[in-house]
Order: sequence, then structure tokens, then C-alpha cells
Amino acid sequence: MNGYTVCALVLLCALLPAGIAASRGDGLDRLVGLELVSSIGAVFMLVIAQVSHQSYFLSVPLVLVPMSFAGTLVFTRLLGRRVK
Amino acid sequence: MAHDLGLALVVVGTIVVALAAVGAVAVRGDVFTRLHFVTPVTSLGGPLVAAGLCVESRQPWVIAELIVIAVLLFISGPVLEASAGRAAAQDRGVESEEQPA
Repeated sequence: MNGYTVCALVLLCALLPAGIAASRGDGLDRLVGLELVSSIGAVFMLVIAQVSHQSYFLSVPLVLVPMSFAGTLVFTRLLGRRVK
Repeated sequence: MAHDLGLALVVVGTIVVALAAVGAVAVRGDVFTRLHFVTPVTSLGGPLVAAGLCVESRQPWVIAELIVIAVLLFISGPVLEASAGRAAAQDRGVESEEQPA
């Protein structure tokens, strides 16, 4: 087990508190947790590509980051409008 | 040397990300306080990890892909936080104007 594997495991464990943040509170509290989960997930996948020595795994975070950006923006618009 | 430097950057980035994730759950506060814990992940942790992997990697197109991912994270993070902060301000009655189209 090298250093990158340990980092990947730590990032995987960091997804747990982010998931907890995404599952409690009202909609906006959970939205913050969702942002955390998607960001940490993207960083985790970067390290996984290094651990597995498969550089084409990098395509996943490359797609995940813009997709989560667009998805979270839609959520913020819907949650912001809801109270109008 | 490059291996040690790359690993060190990845380790520092991982520590930043892990502390931010724990902090987001541990802190007692409203959504505005929690939003502060997303910033270290997108603006510091992610780019540090990508920089470490860039130092470690030898293939130019892998380095280019890592830089693109880090820049996308770095740019999209503050935009999302501002947008979520604005939605929260509307929800809490602090901000009454509708979001810009």
C-alpha cells in the first residue's frame, strides 16, 4: 500500500461526513453537502486514476465537474425561487 | 525527488479536503457557515492534489487533463457557493430580489 492508496482511502472516508452533511437539515443545507460530495468525489477520482495507473480514468472527473456544476446551479435556482 | 514532491502535494491536498469535510459536519451553524467549508476543497485541496499528480505524471496529455480539471474545479467552486449563498439569503429573507437570469 503506497502513499497514493492511503490518500485515496482518506478521501473515500471524507465522503462519509460530506454524505452526512448532504442528508440532514433543510434543502439548502443538503445542497451544501451535495457540493461537498461532488467536489470530494472529483478529487477522489483524480487520485484513483493515479493509484490504478489508468490515466483514462481522468475522463470521469473531467465530465463530473461540469455536470455537477450545472446540476447544482439548477438546484440553487429552484430552491431560491421556491420561497417567492 | 519528483515522486516525493508529488506525493507531498497530494497528501497536503488530501488533508485539506478531509478537514473541510469533517468541519462541514462538526460545525454548529447555519448554511452560510457551512458554505465556508466547500471553498477549501475546490480552491485549495483539489488544485493541490492535481498539482501533485502533474508533478508525478510524465505524459503531457495527462498533465493537460489534470490542469483542465483543476481549473474547472477552481472556477466552478466560488460560482456555486455564491449561487447557493444567494438562494439561502432568499430563503432566510435576507435577500428579496430574484436571481439573475
